[in-house]
Amino acid sequence: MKAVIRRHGQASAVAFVLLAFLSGCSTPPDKIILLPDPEGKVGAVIVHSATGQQTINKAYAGVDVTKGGAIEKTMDSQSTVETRYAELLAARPPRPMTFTIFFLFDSATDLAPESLATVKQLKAVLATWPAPQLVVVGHTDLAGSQEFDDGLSRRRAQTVAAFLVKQGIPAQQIETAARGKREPLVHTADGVPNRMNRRVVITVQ
Amino acid sequence: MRLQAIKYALILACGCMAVGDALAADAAGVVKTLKGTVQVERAGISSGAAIGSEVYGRDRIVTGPESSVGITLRDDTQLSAGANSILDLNKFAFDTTTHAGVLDASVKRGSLAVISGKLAKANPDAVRFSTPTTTLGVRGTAFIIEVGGNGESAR
Repeated sequence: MKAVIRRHGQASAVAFVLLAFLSGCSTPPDKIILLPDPEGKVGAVIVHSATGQQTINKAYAGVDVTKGGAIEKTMDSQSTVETRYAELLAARPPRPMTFTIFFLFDSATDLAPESLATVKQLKAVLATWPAPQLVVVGHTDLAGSQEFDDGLSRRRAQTVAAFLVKQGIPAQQIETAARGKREPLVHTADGVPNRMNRRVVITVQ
Repeated sequence: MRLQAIKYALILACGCMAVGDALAADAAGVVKTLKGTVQVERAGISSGAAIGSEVYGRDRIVTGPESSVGITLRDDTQLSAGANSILDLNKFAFDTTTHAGVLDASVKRGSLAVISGKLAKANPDAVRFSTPTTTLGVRGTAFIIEVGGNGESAR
């Protein structure tokens, strides 16, 4: 009886090795599939393998890449991709959301009057957000030197962070940052004051 | 002589940057969605992840059968890994003022969905994803990576 089991075990082991060998010969390729981004735009991915390179720049287009590096182009439909990768796509984190608070000219402390309403909306979003983290980023218009604007945008971010804490948002959920004049909302010539650029953008991550 | 001075200046600058990174030793991101069994391996120690868990550069994220995890990185990059996946976050750094930094991640096994963030927008060459057979350059976009078969066995 024991011998039979042993012989059976040996046969399984042989079968396993054989299977492993066979599957090694036909390892499925690595797949890359391009998706439209959440705003509907389609960017590009450049895939490099050991032997080649391929740019993918259409939604639901992709490549299969074999172990040897051979690249084969693929084209799927939206529904095929959404069905095949349903669980993977369902696991995506919520899209970070932004809220903007505006400032009066040259001020690091005087918030525009609509700020309170914005914070109310923000708090409604936070109520259901998983492990919310707020990144509070100060910006200036293009009036002033970079150095001055870095400082001003930092003070703006701190003002808004303090305002959020006062409105009941836990301080440990808030991180501040300052972009100075690097990211104007409205592009103007350097030195031009613009109300829309004097702002703090709060991103909920 | 002058060249040497430049060289020292560069070494000094790089050194300072390294210190800056060390000071900003913040998490690379936070777990936002989770299903089933998800482990984070850090410096050889494996622990179960939960929503709100922080992930760091050099972490390995491992999902079990019928499991998945969603992670938002500090630059707004959104990642989700499907069942039976191994994701190595090789490097992550993000400067909130300049948007400079680096994101380097490898999918060793399983699947990963990516929506690129601020790093890819500011400097596409700073972002790199790889599989056992490929390296991907990202030009501001969303995509899926699926590694064929069992992928690479663990390191």
